[in-house]
Amino acid sequence: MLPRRLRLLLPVLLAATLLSAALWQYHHQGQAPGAIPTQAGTPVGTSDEMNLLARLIAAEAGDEPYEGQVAVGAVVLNRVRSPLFPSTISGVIFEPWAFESVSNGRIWQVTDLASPSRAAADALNGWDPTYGALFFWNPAKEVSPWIWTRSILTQIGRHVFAR
Amino acid sequence: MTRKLSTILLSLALLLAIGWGLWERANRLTLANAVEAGGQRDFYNLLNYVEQAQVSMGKTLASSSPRQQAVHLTEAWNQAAAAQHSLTQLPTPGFKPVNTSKFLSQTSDYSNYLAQKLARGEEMTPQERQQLASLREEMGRLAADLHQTEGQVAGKTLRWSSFYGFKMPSLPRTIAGRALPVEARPGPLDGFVNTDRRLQTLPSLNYDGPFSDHLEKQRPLGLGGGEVTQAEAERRAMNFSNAASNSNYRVQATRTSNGRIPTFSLRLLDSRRPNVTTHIDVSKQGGQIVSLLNTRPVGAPTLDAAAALEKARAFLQAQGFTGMQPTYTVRTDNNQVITFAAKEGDVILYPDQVKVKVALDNGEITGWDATPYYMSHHKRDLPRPKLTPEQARAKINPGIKVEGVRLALIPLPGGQEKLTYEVKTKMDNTYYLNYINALTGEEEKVLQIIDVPGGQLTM
Repeated sequence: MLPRRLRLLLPVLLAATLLSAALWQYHHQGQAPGAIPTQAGTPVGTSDEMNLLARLIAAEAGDEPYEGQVAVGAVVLNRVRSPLFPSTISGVIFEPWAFESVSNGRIWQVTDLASPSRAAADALNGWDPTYGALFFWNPAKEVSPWIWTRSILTQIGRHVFAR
Repeated sequence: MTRKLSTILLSLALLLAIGWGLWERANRLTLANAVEAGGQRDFYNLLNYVEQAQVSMGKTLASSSPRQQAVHLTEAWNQAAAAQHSLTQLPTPGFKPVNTSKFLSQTSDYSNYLAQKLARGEEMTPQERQQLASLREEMGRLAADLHQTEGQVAGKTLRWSSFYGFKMPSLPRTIAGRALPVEARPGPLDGFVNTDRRLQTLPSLNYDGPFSDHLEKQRPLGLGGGEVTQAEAERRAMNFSNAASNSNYRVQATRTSNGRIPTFSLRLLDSRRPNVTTHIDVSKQGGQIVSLLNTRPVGAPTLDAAAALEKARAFLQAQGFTGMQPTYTVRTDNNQVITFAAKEGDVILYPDQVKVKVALDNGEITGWDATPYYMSHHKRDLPRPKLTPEQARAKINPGIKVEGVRLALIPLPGGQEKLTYEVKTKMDNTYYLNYINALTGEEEKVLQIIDVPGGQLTM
């Protein structure tokens, strides 16, 4: 039998955890994907879709080499031109489960759009370092086994690109 | 006393936690209902558009007037495209109905192709009628499949919102699996999977449209020569980028790429400027420089668009591309991107394009894309135009001002090329390019010139 003081410690700790969880949840509820930070400092492109493309590149390939960023932009544009995918940039980006960063909301949290914006502009101007890729993934992460049935074209940085 | 106080505190905390849990649950249900509504909307839109497209295709076949046929084909084109859009936005985890999507895209595209053909005053061939009839039959089968799934959806065995959220961790699932004997139950998306499998076996569809199957197999026509070795590719890459930057590069890494144009892809480091890298692709066949991208951020401009054009033109000349014609230009960030097209005699060859990107801070060539050029450049036997420039000019609506006429070979969706007169016209302060077939006098297409900062784009 524990002394009375110690016997109380456990429930009190539990209650404190619950209470702080509730407070934390309350504090964060308004911040989830709600507010999209504006990029006052970085001049982003001429069109709204370019801004969207730059966001996706930043969220999916922010740490990748520059040609890897252009390649991710090119994959989106190759999908727009493919009969297997939606025919607009926004349709491709927001297709359910098409991009991890859209599912987990990271696309709304990116802040550094300088290099991704240049990459998006290059991709929109026609540069495609993959020559026609429709898929990319990080082989170090868990992906759907189906994806490995596609024919792999090349690897840039940490991403494998396939058709 | 302490005991009483702690009991009160603990009960309060418990109440708070229960309240918080209920509140979270209410929120979650609201979101789940919104997601469910989205999935239901996309599903019922898909079903409706597939049915409507099938009806429109049927009306086309039943109609005997080419004009009515064109009207119904236009409906089928839009309905099948809308069905494809709804399908691609449906949440189907772990499985993409790619063949169904392709079938809907191609049916839409094929209807558009036939409608355009009728609009030109031509008629459907018996083979095209047959093709349309078999696509319609397939559309009917798809509608029947979707009706079966509709039963599941209405009976709530298929809930779109159930696909979201975190999966139960594997341990409790195993325990649950032991406790309740698992039956081989059909998965909620089996209907979609089976339909998609069937549509995979459709014969390939070849016609003059952007989604035609023959375009998938397009090979580069302009590379020439035999295979080059990696050492030779590296040598050519360094020569080219040294000339582009007027600097000295060394190879950091080389990989290979097996895309539409198989290449050696090199990453080069500038020996004179730290942290400046260039990415360059050399085709394995012919050893041509297909693409170059210098990754350095460009500073404040000191050159204008005209000076950039001269830099680009001089670089093209030095690389052996003579007689190229600048067509469009656009400024992105502090770079000017200029598109050049090849010329044969006085005919501009729009399919054979090279893009050159010039940094406006120091005039360095920071980008090169000759993919379209090497995909399509080849020796062509261009026909002699049957119309004179004046006759082409006379085809333009009299109310519209003509600003200039020149001969141009243009690419059309589906991969064919047409010799046309490019007539630049002006209407309400907006410029257009009207393409008049130089042999038949038919108008092939119209582009609008859109002013963008630092240049012009055509749409």
